[in-house]
Amino acid sequence: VINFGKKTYKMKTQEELIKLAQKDNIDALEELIKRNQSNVYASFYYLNDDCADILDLTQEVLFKMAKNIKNLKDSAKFKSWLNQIVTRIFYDYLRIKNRKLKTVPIDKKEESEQERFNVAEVPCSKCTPEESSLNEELQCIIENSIHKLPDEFRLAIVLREFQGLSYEEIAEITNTNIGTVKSRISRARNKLQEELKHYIA
Amino acid sequence: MDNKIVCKRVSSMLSLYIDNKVSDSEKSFIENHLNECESCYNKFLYLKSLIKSLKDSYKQIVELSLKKQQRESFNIREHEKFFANISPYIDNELDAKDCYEFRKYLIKSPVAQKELKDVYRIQRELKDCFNKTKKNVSKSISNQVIRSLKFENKKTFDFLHIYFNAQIAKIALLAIFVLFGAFEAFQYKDLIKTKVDNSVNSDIDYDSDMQKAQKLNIDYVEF
Repeated sequence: VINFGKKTYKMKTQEELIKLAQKDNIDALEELIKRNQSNVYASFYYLNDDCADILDLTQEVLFKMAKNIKNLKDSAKFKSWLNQIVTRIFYDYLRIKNRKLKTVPIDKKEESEQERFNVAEVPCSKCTPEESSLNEELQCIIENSIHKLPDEFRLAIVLREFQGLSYEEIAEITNTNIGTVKSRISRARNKLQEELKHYIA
Repeated sequence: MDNKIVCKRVSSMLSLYIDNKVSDSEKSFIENHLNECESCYNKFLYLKSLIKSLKDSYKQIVELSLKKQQRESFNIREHEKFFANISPYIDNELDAKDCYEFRKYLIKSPVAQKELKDVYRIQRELKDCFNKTKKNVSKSISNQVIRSLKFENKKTFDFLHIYFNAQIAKIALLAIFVLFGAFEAFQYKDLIKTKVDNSVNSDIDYDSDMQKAQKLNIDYVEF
């Protein structure tokens, strides 16, 4: 294997990188991981409302991707394949999470009566005063309303809106048929619309 | 006078006559009178037209209301269909026929246009939101993954290294054994040689002993 130096890998397309990575080129694999990390992280950010586990989940997905890259036959289906890994790990995570008791981070202070009152007043608890511009507030509201959706709906809307997969691909990934996917996405959209219509005029 | 009384009687019965609710004798009487009296005939015509127009307008109203009802119910159904198809439409997942109907309805109905606009707006906001999150992700997530991958790679490399080392060690050991064996054999050869030499020497000694004995004139007694 000829080493071109890391810079040349940045110029390559995803498909080229996949093909190189499948031939045991660790630099190409590294670039591939770097390219997809933010996408995977952001997906989990919307899929999972518990911030603490997002990093672990993302790393797990990236590691699995790197290890199984040789099993990918068609490099054009990389996106769908990657999201399949995301979905599987998310489902596993949900299964474990439902079994476990809810954890409370040690470094988070317990809310006093006063704080709880404040939270009720401010629409979003994630927004700090520094970032409470209108735009960011809207972002927080969107995040919260996505997190409020049921798991299947959330997964479907994330795969559709953020990952841009077709209904057929989503049906294959989530092990359902196209009709179900269609109705899930439609209902998820309606719910979001209902939640957000006061904020988006 | 008589005529007037007859006129009054006929006019009171005209309504019944139009509705065909009079006896045969009365009917002939009214018809006779209508042929003779013009004013009564006019009255009859007027009444008849009135009733007819009433009936017509009633019919029209019924028809109109029916039509309206039908149209409205159709509208609701169409709108429901439109509403259900919004989501697949913006995802380009509608088949050609449904897509055509969807667009047709969209052009017709301003309410539908507004709804579609709202859906598009939400979609855009969601995408913006996602892209912002994506941008804010720290780039160091992959570091650990890459490190562990490299570590694993190294580990396999190390394993191979050890394996090869073991092979080399084996070969070396074998070589040492062989050398040792050769050395041993060499030594053994030496030993044999010395033994042979010794025997030769002893022969010489034997000879020299004999010569000595001859020299010294001593009877050499052979054993």
